[in-house]
Amino acid sequence: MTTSPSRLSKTIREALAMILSQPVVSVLTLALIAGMSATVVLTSGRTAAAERDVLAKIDEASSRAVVVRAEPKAGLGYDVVDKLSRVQDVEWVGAFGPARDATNGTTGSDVAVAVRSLVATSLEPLGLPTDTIPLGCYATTQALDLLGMPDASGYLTTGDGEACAVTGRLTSQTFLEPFEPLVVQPTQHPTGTQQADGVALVVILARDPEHVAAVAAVAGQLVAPIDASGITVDASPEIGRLRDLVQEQLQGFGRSLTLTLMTVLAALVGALQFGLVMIRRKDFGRRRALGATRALIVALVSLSTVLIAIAASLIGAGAGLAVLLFQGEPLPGADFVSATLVLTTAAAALGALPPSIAASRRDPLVELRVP
Amino acid sequence: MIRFGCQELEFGFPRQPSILADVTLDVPAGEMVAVTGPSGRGKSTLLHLLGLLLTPRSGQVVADGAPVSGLPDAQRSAVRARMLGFVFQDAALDSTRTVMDNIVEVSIYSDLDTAVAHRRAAVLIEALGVNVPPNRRPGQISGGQAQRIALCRALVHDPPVLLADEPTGNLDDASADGVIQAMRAHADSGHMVVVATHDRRLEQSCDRALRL
Repeated sequence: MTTSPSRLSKTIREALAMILSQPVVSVLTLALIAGMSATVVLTSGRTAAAERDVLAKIDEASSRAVVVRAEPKAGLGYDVVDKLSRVQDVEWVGAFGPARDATNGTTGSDVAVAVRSLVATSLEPLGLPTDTIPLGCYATTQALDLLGMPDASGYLTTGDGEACAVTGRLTSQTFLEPFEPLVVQPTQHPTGTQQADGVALVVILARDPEHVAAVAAVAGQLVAPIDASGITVDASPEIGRLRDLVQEQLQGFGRSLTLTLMTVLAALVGALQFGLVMIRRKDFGRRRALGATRALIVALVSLSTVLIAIAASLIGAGAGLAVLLFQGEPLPGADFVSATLVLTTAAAALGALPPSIAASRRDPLVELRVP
Repeated sequence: MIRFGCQELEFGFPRQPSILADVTLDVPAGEMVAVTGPSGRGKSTLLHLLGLLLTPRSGQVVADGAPVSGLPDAQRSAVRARMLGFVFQDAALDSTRTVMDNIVEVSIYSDLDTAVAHRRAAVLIEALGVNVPPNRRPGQISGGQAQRIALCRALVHDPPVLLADEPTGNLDDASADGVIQAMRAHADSGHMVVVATHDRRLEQSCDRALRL
């Protein structure tokens, strides 16, 4: 007798042949699994994508920001930027001087906006030039609108008679929104007056939302004020809590929905395969009589389901993604799609296991008598 | 394998009287034995016992002196796949697969290479005079052709023991002659053949008969 090159390859080929020999049941199984896979992508996948986007928005908003407010006589100097920049998990630090009212020096309008000196670890997040220390003042769009400077050019006059040329537009990040309308005067070496005025605001960005609390605690110690009662540290705990709540709710919803869908899928695949086993019990009886072991019968039925499930989950997930794309909805990430493919296949395999065991337990002689 | 048979075999279905009692059969290599007797005397049951599809109440099926009927299920399956060829009373073909697929099916369960199985199947189809394209399905062939296909399936892995239950029952004389010759040739090539039959010509082709 010749030795077979690979029993596994024989089993896979036979499982494929079984799939092709029962086209109606195979197509039904494929449609069922593809439908469930698409449903998971359209529901849980859509939820996961929404969760990702919402969390990104929240993160972008201010949940990473720690704001230190210092009263005028608190004695907080600009050297705080250097100190805080060395703290682990701190991404960016900006120290703002006290607000000085400034008006459009060209038009003489009496509409005033707040101008603040700024020393920062980097000016890039604010959209300012990074290769040189920019000269003059930079205003947000809101400030420019109020000042009547739509093209971001002109000069400002402060209440004490100082002038500052407006040389560009400041990109207002969400963590600066509470301070709008805002004009900043970036500087590397604060003047004597600026040093004397001290720092009124320090905005610290943590690398991740979960580091905000630790960064806030360290910041509270590092600012080391002369008058501690004049310092407040705001770590946006509400937004952090909101973030956790959103994440928890959406993840919980997505997980329970996916679990429900997978359970339903396993049950339906099980019912379908059980029906197939009953219809084809003579086939399984013949196989057993010819020498198929129970393990091989289990493998054949399970493997044929798994092979269908692999194809069906790919088709279903692809269809689901296509629908989301067509509707302009956010798409779930590759990790979610991969997990869906694995879960769908696993659920189908699990559902097929009881019928495959039932098939392997058929009495060959009893089944061969089935007309 | 050089000897196959059973010793003091007794069998009955649960809570029913014995159908077979004290049956002993010893078939040496090269011998073809007929199991004969009136209907209902247990000819098919004896073949099913020898084919390890039923478990005896007492006694045992032996291969080269070693009992095989009491082996665990997986090992009995392995014996069926590698050492036994079985022709059932009805052909028991898979109606969803082609004639060729049916013949080479046993290669899935044994160590027989699929390509070798296809070559042997083609030779057997020719030898047994089955004038059927291999891609036909059982529903498209006659009962006699189906029975010869079943014989091809039983012989394709060249088993040491061939068990056949009324293999000529559905065949015309010419076809029956081909089947008898094929089984005789199998025995003459050093294998063992046990056949349950009412067919006088088949019985006469055998070396001896066990009458139940």
